[in-house]
Amino acid sequence: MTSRSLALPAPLVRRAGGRVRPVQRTRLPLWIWVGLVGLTIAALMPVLQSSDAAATGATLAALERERAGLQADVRLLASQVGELTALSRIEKVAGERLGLTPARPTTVLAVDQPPPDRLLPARFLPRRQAALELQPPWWQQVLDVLIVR
Amino acid sequence: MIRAGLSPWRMRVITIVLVAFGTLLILRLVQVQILEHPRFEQEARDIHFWTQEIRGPRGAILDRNGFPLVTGIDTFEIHVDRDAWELEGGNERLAVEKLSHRLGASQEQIRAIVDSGGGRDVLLALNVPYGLGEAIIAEGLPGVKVTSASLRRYGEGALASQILGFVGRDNVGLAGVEFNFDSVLSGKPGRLVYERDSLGNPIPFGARGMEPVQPGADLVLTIDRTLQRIAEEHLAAALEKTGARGGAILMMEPHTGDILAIASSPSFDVTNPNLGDPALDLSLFRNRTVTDVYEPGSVFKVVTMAAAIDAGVVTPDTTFVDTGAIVVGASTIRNFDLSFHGRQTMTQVLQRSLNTGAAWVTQQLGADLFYWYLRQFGFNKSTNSGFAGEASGIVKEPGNLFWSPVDLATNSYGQGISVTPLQIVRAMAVIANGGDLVRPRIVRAVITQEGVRAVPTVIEGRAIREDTAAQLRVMMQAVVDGVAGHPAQTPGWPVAGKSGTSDVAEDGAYLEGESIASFTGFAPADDPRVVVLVKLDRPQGEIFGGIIAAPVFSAVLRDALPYLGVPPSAYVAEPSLFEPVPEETGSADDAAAPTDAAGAAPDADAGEADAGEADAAVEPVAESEAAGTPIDALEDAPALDLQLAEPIDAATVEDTAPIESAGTQ
Repeated sequence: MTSRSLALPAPLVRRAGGRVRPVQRTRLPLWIWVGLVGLTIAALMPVLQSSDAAATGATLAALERERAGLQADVRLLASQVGELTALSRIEKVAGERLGLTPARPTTVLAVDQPPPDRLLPARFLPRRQAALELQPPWWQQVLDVLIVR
Repeated sequence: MIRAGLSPWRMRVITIVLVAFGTLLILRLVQVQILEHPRFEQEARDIHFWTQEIRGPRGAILDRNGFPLVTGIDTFEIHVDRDAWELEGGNERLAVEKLSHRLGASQEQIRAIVDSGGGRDVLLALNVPYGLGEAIIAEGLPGVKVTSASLRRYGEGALASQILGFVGRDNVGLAGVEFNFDSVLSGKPGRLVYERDSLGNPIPFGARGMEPVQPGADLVLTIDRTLQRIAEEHLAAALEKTGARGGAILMMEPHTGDILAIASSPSFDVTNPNLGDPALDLSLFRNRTVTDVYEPGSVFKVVTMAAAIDAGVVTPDTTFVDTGAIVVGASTIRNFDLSFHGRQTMTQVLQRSLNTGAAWVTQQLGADLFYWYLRQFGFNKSTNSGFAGEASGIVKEPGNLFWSPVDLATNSYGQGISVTPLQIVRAMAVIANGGDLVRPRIVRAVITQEGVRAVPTVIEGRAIREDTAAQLRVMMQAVVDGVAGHPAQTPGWPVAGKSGTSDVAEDGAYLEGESIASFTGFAPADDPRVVVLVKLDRPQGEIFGGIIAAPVFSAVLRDALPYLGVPPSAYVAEPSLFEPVPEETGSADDAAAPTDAAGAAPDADAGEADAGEADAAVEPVAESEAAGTPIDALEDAPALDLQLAEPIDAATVEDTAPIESAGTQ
C-alpha cells in the first residue's frame, strides 16, 4: 500500500491511463441539505413541544396552587371578618373594653337626614371580569386572516 | 439409505396443527381486538384512569344586610394508604416521623390510629388547616394522601341554629337552610381524570383531564341577625319566666313576606350539634314554626271577622247580643270565662274575645264562604316558604268525613283547626299589607359568579279587599290600644294584635291542664312594618295569651321598631278613642241562651274589659247580602313559582353595592 493510496481513499480515485488522479469532490445538492435540516428540526419539534408543554404545565400547576392558596386565604379572612363583626363580640368589646352598658331607658333623637344605604359587603359580590385582553401572536393573526373559519 | 427429516404425513399433521393454532390465534385476536374491543378498552381505561369528584367551595350564608352567618374555610383531610406503608418499612418510618412533626402528635398516636382503622385507606386527621396541608403535600410523603375538604364556621355562634342547619362530613346539607338549599350552596362538582400507577397514585405527566368545578353560590337570607337576636333573647326570657316547655317568636315584613326572625325552642347549638351522640334528640333540628301545627285559638277570630266583613255580612259596628252561649246542633258554645255581655259590636267581639260572637259571625257567613276565605288566607296548604317539611295544616271542610256544623262554630275561634305559626303570621300580614296573600320567603338573593340574582316577592293573590284590611287594622288596634292597660300596648307606637289561648292536642285528644298561649299582631298599626307572633307552649301557672304572651310581644316591638327605623312618637294609647258606635240592628232568634252548661271546650283569653251588658240579639244580615260581590271581585290569581330574577350584571356592581341593587326591596 502506497502513501498515495492512503491519501486517496478508493472511492475517490480513478484510474486513467495508468495514472491515478484524484476525483473531483461532488457536493451534495442544496435540497438535500435543506431536507436534512428540515428533518432534524421536524424531529426535534415534538421534543421541544413536549418540553415546552411540560414546563408550561408545571407553571400552570404552580399558579393554580397559588390561586387556590389565595382563595383559601380569602375565605379564611372572610370568615374572620364574620367572627369579628359578630353581635356577641361587639357587645363584649363594648362592655369590657369600652365600658358601655345598654341604654335604659332610651332617648330617641330625630335626625332630619335619611339613613345611609345598607350595603352588601363587596367581598361577597362576584368579581368583576378582568379587562385584560391578550394580543394574539403575529403568526396567529396571519393564520386568522388566511384561514376561513 | 437413511432419509433425513419427517415423513410427509407427519409434516402434514404439524402443518395442520400450526395452521389450526394460527387460525385460533387470529380468531382470538379478532375477538379481542375487534369484536370486544370496546369492552376491553373500557376495562383498561378503568384500570389506568381514575375519576375523582372534586367539590368546589360551599357558599356562605349571609343575613339580609350581608353579615356572614355561615362561612366556609378550606381545610384538608389526611388519609394513609396502609398498603404503601406495609410494602416498605422505610416508607412508614419516614412518613410517621414527618407527620408527627407536622401534626404535633406523637408517632405512637399516629401508628395507633392507622393500625385501628379498617381497610386500606385510613383517615388520620380532619380539618387540617390549609397551610399545614399544603406543607404536607409538598413533602410528598409515601402512602400519605391529602385531600381537600372544607369546614363551616358560624360567625354568630348559635344564633339562628334551626334556620341555618348544618352539613355532614361530606359537606352535604343535613338540616335547615344548609339542607333546603344544598344544591345552590354546594354548586356543581367537577371531575378530575388522571392516569394512575399500580398503587393508585397519579402518574406524573400522565394523561389528565378535568371538568371544572362550579363553586357554590352565597345565599342572602331575609333573616336580620339583630332581630333574630332580639327574638331569641326575648323567647329565652319568656320561657324562663313562664316555665313554658317551648315556644316561638316569628317576625315577618308584611309587604314582601320576608321572614325577619324565627326563634324556636327547644333548639340546639349549631356550633356543636353532637351528631355522634346516640341519645341525640333529632326533633331539636326541626323548625317547629313551619313543621308543627297547633290550634291557634282566639287569634283566629281575626280571620273570621275579616272574612265576614269582606263578604259584607257584618261591619265593625254591627251588633249581636251575647247571652253567654250559642247552640249549634247538639253543642253549646260558651265564652272562655262563661260570661255574657249583652249587645256587642264586632269590634267588641274581638276586644272581649267572645267565642259566641265569632260563632255567630260564621253562622251569618255560612260554611262555604267561611272555608273559601280560609283558603284565600292560605290555610290548609303549604306557604311554599322554601323550608323543607313544611306542614299544610288541618282544616276540615264540609264534605270531609268528620266535619259537622259544630266545627264551623269552633273553627271560628281557632279550635278544631290546625295551622302552623308561619301560616298565622302570613294571615296577619294579609291584614297588615292591605289584603295581599304574600308568599313568605327566607332567601332574599343568591350571589353566583355571574351576578346577584334576586328572589322576587310573590303575591299569591288577594285575600280580602283593601278597605276590609283597613277596617281590621283599626279593630285589631282597638283590641290592644282600646283596652286600658292591655299588656301588648307599646308606648310610642300604635299597636294592633290579638291574643289566643288554646288547648294542646296530642294523639287525638286534648291534654288536661295544658295550653298554648299566643299573641299575634303588627306595628305600627297605621303603617305596619313588622308582624310578630309570640307563642308559648304549655306554660306553668298563668296560661292566657293576653297575659303572658302579650307582654313579650310588646317587649319585642320596643326593641325591633327603633332598629327598623320606626322611631317612637308621643303616642299613648287612649281607649276612649275606640269607644264603639253600635249600629242599630234587630234581634236574633238563634242566639238564645241555653240552660245547660255543657258544650265545647272553652276558649281562654285575657286582657280585655268586661262590659257585662245584656241587650237584645240582632237580626242576621240577609243571605243575599252575605253572598255579595267580594267573591266575584277576588280573582284567583295563579300562584307564582319561586324563581330567581334575571341576573344583575356584575360589571355594574361597585365595590360596595346597595342592597337595593339586588331588587329585593
